[in-house]
Amino acid sequence: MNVKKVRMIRIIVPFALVLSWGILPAYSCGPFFPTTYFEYSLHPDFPLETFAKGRLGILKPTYAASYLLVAYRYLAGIPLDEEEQQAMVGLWKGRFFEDQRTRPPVWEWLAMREKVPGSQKFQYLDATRSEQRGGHFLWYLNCTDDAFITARKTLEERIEKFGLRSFEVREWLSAQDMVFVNCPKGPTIPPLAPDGIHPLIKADRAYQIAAAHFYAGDFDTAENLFREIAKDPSSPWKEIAPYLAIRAIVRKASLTEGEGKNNRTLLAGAKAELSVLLADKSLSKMHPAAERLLDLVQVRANPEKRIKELSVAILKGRSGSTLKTKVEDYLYLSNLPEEERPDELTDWIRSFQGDNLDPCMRGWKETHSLPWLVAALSKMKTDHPDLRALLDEADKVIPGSPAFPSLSYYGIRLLLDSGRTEEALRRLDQLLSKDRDLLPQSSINIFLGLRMKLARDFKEFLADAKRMPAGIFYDFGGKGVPQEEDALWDKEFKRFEGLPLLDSDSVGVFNKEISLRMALDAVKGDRLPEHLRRQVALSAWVRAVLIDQNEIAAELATSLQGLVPELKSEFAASLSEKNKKDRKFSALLLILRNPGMTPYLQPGIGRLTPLDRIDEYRDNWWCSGQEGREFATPCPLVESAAKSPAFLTEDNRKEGEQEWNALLKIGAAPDYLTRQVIERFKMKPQDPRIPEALHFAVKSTRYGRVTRDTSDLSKEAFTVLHRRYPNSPWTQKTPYWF
Amino acid sequence: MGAGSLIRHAGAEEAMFLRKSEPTPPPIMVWAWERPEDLSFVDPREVGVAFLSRTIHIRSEGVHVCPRLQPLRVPEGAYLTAVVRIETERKKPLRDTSELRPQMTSAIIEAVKMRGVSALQIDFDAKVSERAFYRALLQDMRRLLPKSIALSITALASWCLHDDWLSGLPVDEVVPMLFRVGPDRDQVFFHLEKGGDFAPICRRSIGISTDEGRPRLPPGRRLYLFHPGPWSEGALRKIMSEVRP
Repeated sequence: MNVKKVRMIRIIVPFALVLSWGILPAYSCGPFFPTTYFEYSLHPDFPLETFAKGRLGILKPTYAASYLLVAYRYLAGIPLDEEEQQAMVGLWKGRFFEDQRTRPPVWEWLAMREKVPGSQKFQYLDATRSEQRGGHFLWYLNCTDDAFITARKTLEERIEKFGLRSFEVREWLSAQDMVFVNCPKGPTIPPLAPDGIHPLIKADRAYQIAAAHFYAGDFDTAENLFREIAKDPSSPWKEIAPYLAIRAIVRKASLTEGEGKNNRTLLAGAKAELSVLLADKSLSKMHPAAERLLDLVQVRANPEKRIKELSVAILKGRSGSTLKTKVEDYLYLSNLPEEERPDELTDWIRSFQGDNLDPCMRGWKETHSLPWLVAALSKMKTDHPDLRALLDEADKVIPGSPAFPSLSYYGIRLLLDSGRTEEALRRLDQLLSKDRDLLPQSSINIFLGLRMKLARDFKEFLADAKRMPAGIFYDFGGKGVPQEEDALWDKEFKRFEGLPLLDSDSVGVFNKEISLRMALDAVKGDRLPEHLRRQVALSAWVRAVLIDQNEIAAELATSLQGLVPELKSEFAASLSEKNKKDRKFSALLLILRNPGMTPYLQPGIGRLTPLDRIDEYRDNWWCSGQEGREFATPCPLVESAAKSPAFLTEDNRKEGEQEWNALLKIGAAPDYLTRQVIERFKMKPQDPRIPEALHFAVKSTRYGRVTRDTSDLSKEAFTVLHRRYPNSPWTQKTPYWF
Repeated sequence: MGAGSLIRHAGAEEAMFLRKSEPTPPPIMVWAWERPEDLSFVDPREVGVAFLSRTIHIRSEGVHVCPRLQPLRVPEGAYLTAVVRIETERKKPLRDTSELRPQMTSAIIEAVKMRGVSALQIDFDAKVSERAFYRALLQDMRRLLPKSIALSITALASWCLHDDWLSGLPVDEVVPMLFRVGPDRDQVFFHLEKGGDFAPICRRSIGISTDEGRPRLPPGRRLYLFHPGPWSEGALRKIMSEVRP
């Protein structure tokens, strides 16, 4: 590893640990669209409580370490007790979901202090401080939420004791404001308390002066002052003061860069003092905070040793609520440079997340344990000499085991790779019938995906293609996480709850390999529910129109009169055209009027904008499969890979491929449709529908997916409309070309 | 690498960006996002650093500031721009209360109080309904910022083409983003590829990314470079070799 990088990590770790917990999730830039998730890659299904209880489903190497760590516990036979489950769920949710219900403590503090008459109004209080050494900038959260919570609580108590308008409260607040001035910059130290003031305010002032030195970065003075306060039996701060004196030492060590020996000495001193504090029963109120600080000191003093200790502690079980902090420390430390042979837990997580079979086999051979069996099977190759032995071991695992879904999945994958499809099919059928209730939705969907590849006929294919989504939501962070926990099924998507949808694998097959004839069978048959038959029928009809499969188009149009009742009369009108060319023009006009019409199926909930409305984000009509230019946005449906199912015959494939190739030649909708309309104008300018068609053609060049040629075509259609049909209402509705 | 060619790239509108006697921003600016960034290798004559200083979340109950907490290394004398990212609640309309803008300006202005910062860049996605708020906020910011601090904003490329709501804003620089463009991407790219340009207010700088293709760039622009991971000397050298005229 690069030396510079190592150094950077060592600097970062203490800051991260001390200061950066609670960073909000980072979002990417918008616009954002709802995403249908059939499975997740970075985390298990929601609710996460189910995973925490040990219903692991299929474990993926792409899962974040915090999930794999929990999985390891279950696989190793060390289940999480209820408190530990809550701790882990708290950790995950804290990372995923912002707490939007509460106001940050700093704002609560500002609101509280404003109640004191005559207090200066602050619009904002910066809690972060930056340090600059040459060109090296460091930022850290100097004043934490606890500081503002304590200040607010103390002010409330002093108001209650002395009164809102009292001299004591004004004095206290004036000093406290000075303390917080040090959060971003300083030093600003409050003066000594005035003579004769109430002893409580005097004791507060001593504490405020010490705190001001602490926030100003004068840690030696702060330490000494806190020690003085600890000796004052009358101070209400005497219990917290010893702890804060140690915190001053630790903060000093954290901010001391490149002074290794000094740093270690400081931390060793802090550790010894924390041990004394933890042994002092009279300071028991401070013990939880001191334990947390001790964790930090140990992490900072010897990270390599600490990660091993944490790993052992995590695997020991019975950590209760402290499991959260142990795991947080562990996860931060796991970013340290890799050791050749890390501890057992880290070794397993890294091996499972990696691509290499060797460390997984080594782990399996050394331990013959369930975690390593899962890891080894997940990387196993069909020509490996240990394949049979591993599969035999996996077969011994019973359905109730937390390893069962993973071993089944990785085992079936190997069977498929070995060409043992009958055995794979038998196992899949058993999993999807008898063992289905043991599986989370995403695992069911993954098994259905494998099953679909083995479908023996079109009916089986359709049955396996229908899947229940694991969630539908706006994925602002791009990590498969809803913005709020209860937004897994956003209100606007509730109507899809309980409805099977199509995932991208079956959509890829439909778009690229299923012929129009087969699509018609799906529309007429009963294997798909009505909402999916409607989708299939619409895309197949558009495709049939575009590639001049007139008979199939007519049959589909007949079905569509029932499936799309809002367009019943328009499909009927198109069918009533006697002449082939008139019928096609009628169909093209119908497509132009309905920007939601496309020859491609879309996975999941697809386009949500009504069929006849323009989608604001340009999901209108279709894009071009030919537009492979350097910077053009890829056309996802055209580029999606088809995973050819086994039941398709050579003839089926050939027919599907011919249709697909014919469709690719059509190009992007705005160009194709505009050309067709201009062609129609040249052929039959007296057709009364021409102005309307030209209007929509120009509209398609604004709202459809454009190419280099679109602009010229837009201008041409616009010019024809305005020159030849100047009095048409459609001309008035078309003031621009694009 | 020599400074001359890249300085030429920045073009003649330099004087418009910064006031006389202020430090001149170099022709290339790299965005340093919320991750540890070691940019000590850059040549400060050619390359400046626009670092994410803080993210401000506007919520119904108030403003929540997430300060930068990751270290940054830059060479001595590097031109520094503090970037403030503004996030609004995506499902709730932004309510411009009497307290919101003063809170926002106070939180934003802290970002430029750091020694060595010469400019402030505000990065935001404004829904149509939020535009009046952002216009007012930018006017407040210009009034409150020291004259020596340049005010820059990022912009969706479409704002700089057919959706010109930025006209008349008191900003020194608008940076149209040519990455993660979204649905307007093809229209924007084909427009530039055919020799088109942005609205005048958007003609000083352009934002591009190392991981996305780009069309022909109009000449004479300062380039802001985004990299999806931590910057390395190799990554910077590669993109600079691509964008050199």
